[in-house]
Order: sequence, then C-alpha cells, then structure tokens
Amino acid sequence: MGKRRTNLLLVTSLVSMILVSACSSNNSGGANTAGSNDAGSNSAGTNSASSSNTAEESIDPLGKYDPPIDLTTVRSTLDGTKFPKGDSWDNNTWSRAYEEFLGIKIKNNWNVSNAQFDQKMNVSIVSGDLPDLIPVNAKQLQTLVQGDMIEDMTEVFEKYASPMLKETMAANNGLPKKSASYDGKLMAIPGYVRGNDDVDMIWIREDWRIKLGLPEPKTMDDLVKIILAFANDDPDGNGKKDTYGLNLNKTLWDGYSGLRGWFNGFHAYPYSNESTSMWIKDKDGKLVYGSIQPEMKAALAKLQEIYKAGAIDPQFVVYDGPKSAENEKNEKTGVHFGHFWNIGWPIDPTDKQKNPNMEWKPYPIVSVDDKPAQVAVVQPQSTWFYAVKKGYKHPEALVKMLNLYYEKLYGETSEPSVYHTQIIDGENYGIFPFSPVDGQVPQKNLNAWRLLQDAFKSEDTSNLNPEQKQYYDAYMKYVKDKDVTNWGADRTWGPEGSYSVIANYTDNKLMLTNEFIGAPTPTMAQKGSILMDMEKQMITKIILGESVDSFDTFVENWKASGGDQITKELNDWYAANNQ
Amino acid sequence: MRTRNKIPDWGLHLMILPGLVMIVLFSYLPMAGLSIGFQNFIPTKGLFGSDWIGFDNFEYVFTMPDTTTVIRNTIIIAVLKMIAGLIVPIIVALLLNEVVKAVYKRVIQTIIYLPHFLSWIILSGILIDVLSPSNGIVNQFLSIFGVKPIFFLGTPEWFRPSLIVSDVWKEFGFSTIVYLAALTSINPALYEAAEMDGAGRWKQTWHITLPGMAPIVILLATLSLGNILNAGFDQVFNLYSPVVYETGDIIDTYVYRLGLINFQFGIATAVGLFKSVVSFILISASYFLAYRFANYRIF
Repeated sequence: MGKRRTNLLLVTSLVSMILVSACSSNNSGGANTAGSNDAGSNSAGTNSASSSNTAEESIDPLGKYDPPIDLTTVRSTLDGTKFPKGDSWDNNTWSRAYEEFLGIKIKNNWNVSNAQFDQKMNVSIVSGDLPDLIPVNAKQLQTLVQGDMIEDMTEVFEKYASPMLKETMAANNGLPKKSASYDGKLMAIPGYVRGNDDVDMIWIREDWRIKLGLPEPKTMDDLVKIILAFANDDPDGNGKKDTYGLNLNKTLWDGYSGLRGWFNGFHAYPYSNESTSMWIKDKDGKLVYGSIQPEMKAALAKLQEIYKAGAIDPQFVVYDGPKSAENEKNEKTGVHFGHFWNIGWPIDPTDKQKNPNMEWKPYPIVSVDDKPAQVAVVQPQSTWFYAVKKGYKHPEALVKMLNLYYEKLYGETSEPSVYHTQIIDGENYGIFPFSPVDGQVPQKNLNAWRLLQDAFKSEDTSNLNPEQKQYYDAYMKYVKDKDVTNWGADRTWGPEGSYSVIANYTDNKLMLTNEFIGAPTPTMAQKGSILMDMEKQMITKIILGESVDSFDTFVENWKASGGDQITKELNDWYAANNQ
Repeated sequence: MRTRNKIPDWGLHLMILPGLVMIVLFSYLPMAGLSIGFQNFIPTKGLFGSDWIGFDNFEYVFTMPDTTTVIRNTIIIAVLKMIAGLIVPIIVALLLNEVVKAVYKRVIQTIIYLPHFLSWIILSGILIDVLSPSNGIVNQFLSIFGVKPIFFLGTPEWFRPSLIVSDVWKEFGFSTIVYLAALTSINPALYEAAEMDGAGRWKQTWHITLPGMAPIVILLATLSLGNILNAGFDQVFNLYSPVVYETGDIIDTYVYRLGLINFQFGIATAVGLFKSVVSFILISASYFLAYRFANYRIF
C-alpha cells in the first residue's frame, strides 16, 4: 500500500508539474504581450510628443529620437559571415550606429540564412507575424499591399528622405520608385538598385590560358577552344586528365557559374527564376519571352557539344553554387560565367595564397557572329524592398535609417573604413551587410572605377571620396607591396578588373534590359513555376545529351501550358505602363 | 480495496491529459486548415476571407502534366523503402543475436544506429561526394573490379537504388534495435526445449525466433503502410536534379516546386489532404488484414 501511495504521489506531482509549467509559460507569454503593449503605449507617447515638436521645427532627415524608439525587424543572413570579435547580427557597428545617431533600437525577431529567408518570410506574412520593418521581395510586397498590411510611405518619403536618397530613387527615369509604387502610392523603399552591376562576364584562369598559349577570347570560337583546351590539354600540368573547361551549377542562372552570359553570346536571352523572367522586344515591338526564341537552339547545341567532349563536370546537375565552387577552388576548372563579385566569393585571396601563380581575369562576353553580344540586365530594379508594418508609429524611422546608411557610406561625412569594411589584425571584415537596410547610389561602383583609373596613373587621390580611397589603398598594397590579401582589389578595381568589363558594356551600349519590371501577372503567379520547371528540365537534359530538337517540343508545351496567356497579359501590362 | 484501486487508475488517466491536450491543440485544431484545400486561399485575407472554389485545386493537381509520373515514383520508392527497411533490420537483428560477445554486439549496434541522428541536409553533402563519379569512394572501389564510373545521382536508372540503399543505411540501425528488443522477450526455455529435441541453430531461428518476432514485425509493417505516399521529402529534395525527375521526383518535391514557391497554399493543402486520405485507407486496410490473417490487434 505504501508503494501505491508513493506512486500516486509521483503521478500527481508529475501532472501538476506539467500543468504548472504550462501555466507558467502562459504567464510569461502574458507578461511578454503586456510588456510589448507597454512599449506600444510608450512609443505612442513619444510619437505625440515628437509630432507636436515637428509641427514647430523643420524636419531633420537625420533627427534623433529622444527617448529612443524600438524597431523590430527580421534578417536574412549570409552563411559563413565573419564578425569582428564580440559582434553578431544583433549587435554590430550598424545597430550601434542607428541607436547612437538616430535613437532607434533595433531588435531582430529572427535571423535565417538567405537561402531560407523567402520561405520564412512567406510564413510570417501568412501568419500575420510581421516585424515593424519588413524586408521583402517583389512578390511578397504585392501580397502585403493586397492585404493592406503596410504603411503608405509616399508622404514620409517626401518629408524625410535626404537629397541623396531621393536622387537614387529617381534614377533610371524613376524606375526604383516605380517598382515599389502601387496606384501611384509609394508602398515601400527599394534596397540595392544595382541592376547594371549584376551582369555576366567570362571569368578565365588567365595563368592556364597563357600556359597553353591560347589567344584572349574575342569570339565564341576562341572561348570554346579555351574551354576544350582546359579540359584536354592538362592546364595544371599534373599529367592527369582531371580538369574541366566550363563550370556550371544546377540552378543554371546564378550570378556565379550560371549560363546567362553563354546564351547572350548567341543572342539568346533566357532567364527564369522564381521571381523574374526575361522579356525582350521582338521586331514588331511586342514583348516576347527570351527562353523560347530560336536563338536558344544553337547555344544549346554548342553546350551539348562541349559536354560530350568532357569539358563540363557531369556532376553540375547535383551541385549548387558553393559545391560547384569547389571545382575552382581545388583548381579543377578554369572558366565560368558570373558577376563582378565572383572575385570576392567564391574565389578569394586564400586561393591565391595556396597557389601564387593563380590568376583569374574577367572578359566581356563574346559573340558567335559579327553582331556584338549584348549582356542581359535581368533586374534593372531592386530585387528587394523595405516596408513598414501598418500601424507602426514611426514609419519615417525607415527613411531616416536609409538616410544614415547613405550618409555613412556615400555622403560627405562617410567613413567606409568603419561602415563598409573594417580591417582588424590584417583581416578584412565586410561591415556593410550588417545594416538591416541598405542601398546604393546609382552607378556608384562604375564611377569609382573610372576615378580610380585616373588616380592610379597620376597617384593623386584628391578626387577620391573615402570609400574610393580605401579601394585605392588596397589596390596599391597589392601592386606595390605584393600583399596577396588585396588581390580582390586589383581584380575588381584594377585596369583589368571586373569593373573594366562593366565600363566596356556601358560605353559600348552592350546591355539589353529586361522589359518586364512589374509584379507577376495572375497566370504567371499560378503557372510560372511549372513553366520554369519545364524550362530547367529542357536545358539540363539537352546539355546532357537529349536531342536539341526537344527544344521545339518545349516551346510548344510552354505556349500551350499558359505561356501564350502570360505573353498576352504582359503585353497588356506593357501597353498600360509604357505610353 | 476497490476504492483504493480506483485512485491510482484515476491518477494514471490524469497522466494522459497533457498528451491529449497536445493532440487536440496540434493535431485536431489545425485540421480546420484543411478547408484551405477548397479555397482560392489568399494569405493576407485569411481562412475566412478567401473564396471557396470547390474541387478546383484537386482538379488542377491531377491534370498537371507530370502528376502520374510523380505518383508512380512516390509509390515505387516508398514501397521499395518499406520492404528493404523491413527485411534488412530483421536479418541484422538475427545476426547480431548470434554474436556471443556482448561488447561486439553493443559496438556494432551503436555504429549502425549513428546515421539515424544525422539530417539529410548533411548526409546529402556527404553522399554527393561519396557517390561522385570522378573521385567518390564508391566508384573508386568499383574501378578495382574494372567497373566504369557510375553517376549514381545523375542517372535515372541508378537514382532510385541510391535513394533506397542510402535510406536503409541511415535507418536500419533504429529498427534493428526494436527487433533486438523483441528477441530478448522470447522465452529462453523454448530454445532449451528445442535443443533437447535436437533442433540446430537454423531450425531454432525458423521455428522459435521468427514466430516470436512476428507480432512486432506485423506492427511495424502496418504502421509503415501509412507512409506509402511519403517517399522522403528531405532525402529526395537534397539529392535530386532535373535529370532524374522521371524516376526520382515525388509528390512532395513536385508540390514544393510548383506550389510553395508561389504562395499556392490551396494546392499544397489539397495534396496534403489527398495523401492523408490514402494513408488512412491503407492503414485501416492493413490493420484489418493483420487482424484477419495474423490474428494481431494493436487496439
């Protein structure tokens, strides 16, 4: 009986423990909501105070909140980001700056890796669990606008935006502002507007090319020769046939080891990912989808040819970007198409430290015939936006934060060595991604490159702003002191750096801009991903050996499965928006 | 006496309460969300603001171009995984049971149990390297016998076997432990009696061990039937590519690609509901069969 009793005691105490802990967690939840309510009423108080103030004094784009206000947001993080000691996504140079200069205390409700960010954001939108400051892509912005969940920013933007921010949003005939406007109302503020920077170029292992005595690529034939030679002629000189020519990864359209530049060389303009597709004008001025044009066929046939010749690693179908990068970091592949930043990631100074002979050089894309190749600018508008949750008391806080970001990076009082990149104990730390909001003055990098070229020649740095001076110093360290850690500066800003290629594209008008910058049309939203899936399968399979004629079947299927309808909707959109 | 007995019963029943609350909260209440499957669900309008569209979502899913391939793949992969996942652990458990030294037994048990704790996202990275046709260890081993490199993850014919073998490798340790536990519950007197009657090791296994394990085998087989439409999203998603869609694309990955990316929650819910209904029918059927032919009941 005694035993029974203890058992009973045990059971009841267990149960009560569970109940109690459930209750206590309830309590703490209640306490939390109460706390946030308090914060809400607090900020309501400050708001009324500040609004009564603003009635009298002029509006300061960088005015400080006193007492400080709270702002919650969520962060898309980059795996493998290095932080200066003690810093994190939640506490870093930028979060401290916003608090110090603007009196805005930022709290990250959650941080997830950029690969999962869109999904996590989708879930947050669905469940209505939104932070005050919401970073979103175009499709999510559309959803938020439909659901009337965000603040209209038109007025606060006009009132609070600094001249630099206004100028940026008015660039490209006001494209940035247009892309975030619904029925003439500015519903969000676009982030980075750097469409013209994100174009493909050909990155080639220059030391291999010279070793094998191959000419610089001027035509598609030259390039194909280089690709085949890198696979067959033992460029690394180890006596084994263990190298490939062209590096690809399974997503096909990435800014690293993708295929856009290849297709552009054949005057074909495919590109389709989850959020954007590439639309060009045909000779009658109608919008047509790039991936179904006949120029695709020759490009696919040539790809298949070099694949059959063993110049592409067959495993590209299972490799994502970082995995395919291993091929180049292990010096097994020597050509890829990609953006200007490929020299910072995945190729970086550690590779050159391992093999000092290594040299990568970016080239403009090459044409298959005598017509010059135009490179596709897929996203001339920003790919992401910052919106403010409906009901947040200080929508202008977002504008102020952007003002500060622009000021500290590009303004007269800019301090790039603090806010862009810090060098601590000889190691480079990129600081700029730590800010929850970002942006860039138009053509900033290209202008920097041009000024730098003059400065390199004259060694006169008086024309350079602090950020440009930083690039100048890094370049000089590499050239004069042979400091390998600044290799990237030479490959980006140097005379043959990646911006020389972009300057070339810009000067010779070799860019073809996507005609479609709106939000997805109804059929696109519904059927877009099926079509995208079909397209990806078609391209992958043809590279791996399926008959090139299956491209024609794909075009038929694409049209029948909703493509024709999308084309019609897009032309209607175009007619309505481009009078 | 009677009243005294009642108190502990009541106490024990109370212990179920937290579990019941959990089930109601996390399993039954969310079922209201199934209505999304019959709606043109717009997230920001919510469950009550979206329009009802009847069976349109189901119709849409079943008329999609690859639906039949995808369902076929799902069933084939799931069934093969179930069969392999049933047989391999039984054999390993029987073999382990014959190992005399307890140390070896435990070490082996632990080692084969280990991959169970790794997630597919990690294992896929490892498998891509291990199965690589250029420098993967598997192909290097095969090349000793003069076999040409096989691209396991990039050839439609090899993709399914790769899935099944890697899945069994990951999970068989867990089931083995369950079967080993079942083995220990067999009365040793039976073996002694059999030995007296002159039965050898093989006969003992056949006539005592296997029948002794039968209930647990039937139980696990029955439960696994409910997974007939779950061919393993994590695994397939991390290993597949457009080249192997024809043999490797399953319902979950297909819906993920076509639905979730584009806010198509109605479609995703419709598929989920379809899968649940099929699983429910199969579990009921197998339960009935188990009762009918093996006279085994779970409840």
